[in-house]
Amino acid sequence: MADCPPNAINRGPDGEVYINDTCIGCGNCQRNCPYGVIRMAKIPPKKPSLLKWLFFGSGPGPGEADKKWTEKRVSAETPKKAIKCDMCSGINGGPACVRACPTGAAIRVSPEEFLTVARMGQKV
Amino acid sequence: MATRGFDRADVGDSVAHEGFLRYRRFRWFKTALLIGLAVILIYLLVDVQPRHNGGSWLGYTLGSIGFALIVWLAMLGIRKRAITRGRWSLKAWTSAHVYLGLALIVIGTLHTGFQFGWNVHTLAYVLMMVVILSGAYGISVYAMLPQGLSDARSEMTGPQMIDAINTLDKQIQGAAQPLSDADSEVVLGSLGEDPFGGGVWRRLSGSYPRCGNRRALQIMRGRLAEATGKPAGAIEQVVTLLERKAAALQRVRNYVQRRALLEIWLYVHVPLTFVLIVALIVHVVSVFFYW
Repeated sequence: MADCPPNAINRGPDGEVYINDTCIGCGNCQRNCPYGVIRMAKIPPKKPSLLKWLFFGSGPGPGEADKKWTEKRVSAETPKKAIKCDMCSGINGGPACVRACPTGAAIRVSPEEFLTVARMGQKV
Repeated sequence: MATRGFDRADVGDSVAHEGFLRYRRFRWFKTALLIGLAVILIYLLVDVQPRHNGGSWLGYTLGSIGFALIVWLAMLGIRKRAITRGRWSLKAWTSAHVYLGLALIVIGTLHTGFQFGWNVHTLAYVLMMVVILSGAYGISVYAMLPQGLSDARSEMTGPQMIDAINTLDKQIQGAAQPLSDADSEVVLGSLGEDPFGGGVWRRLSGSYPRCGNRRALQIMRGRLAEATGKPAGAIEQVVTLLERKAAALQRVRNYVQRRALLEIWLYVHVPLTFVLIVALIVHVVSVFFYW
């Protein structure tokens, strides 16, 4: 994509935009994104396992750790990289948020069908 | 691929939300129904002497199945917190959890052979039934209440609702200046009401009998009825503001009430599950120890 020096940011076949590992953290994409969905973040340290958290309370628990926990364990020199939602394109199984929704409220729709689905619940 | 996790064949050509109760055309409802009916049929056909009890071969079978099922049902708490890669869906797990949990009513009750007493065995059964019934309450509120949540707050966000109340508070404070000392004390009693405050009972019932704003509104309406001339104008302005604040408070309290009704059952369902597992272990150990 334009303005990305290592050409790390690309659009995938399903329409999702992903940033691969060659990102150098220059921040061009974040500044230019018209939707504001790209942010710069340091790679967080590894958390204790889920069972350790369940039984001993160690670690911040499931989900993204809060800033205070991460900042304490990451050096100030560590560079930041650009991250954004890429519909979990690198892993098997599809978007994790859809798989993790217990009631089926979260679904993934392609852009062409989005308005149809959004209007489904509305009264005419 | 982004759409890999969602099987379009199940909902036809158009993409639609499929709830966890209808998951895959009620697959888990049908499974649980079959299991329940099969267990009832076996229970009726098998002849146990002197009467059905938890210690017969059927009793032990049902008890083992029930124990394993209870442990598996409790695993939902771990499954939902470990978002691993792979083609699994929490909606499928939740659907199975709900229906197999309901099937447990049949399995557990037939395991008892309808023999109850004041002992740890019946305690385990009662705990199981309370957990299941709290879960049934949970899914009924999940089906009915969420649609009303955004209507209840007129599509405002939480911070917007609080801002509205703070703005009204400032206006009320200003409008209370021209009033007499006694009146302004009453009006200022409406300020500082924390709309998100209140304990569990306040939130669930939605009734706030000691609401400062309601009292102020009541008294000021009375004063408006008897006031005349210039003071009447000031009082009228205060009454209008108090009425608006009452509406804003009502909006927040309505939302808080719905959220409380949606969440209260988990404070019963989850802790009692752990008490149940302990009671179950005591039940099994004591049965074999005193055999």
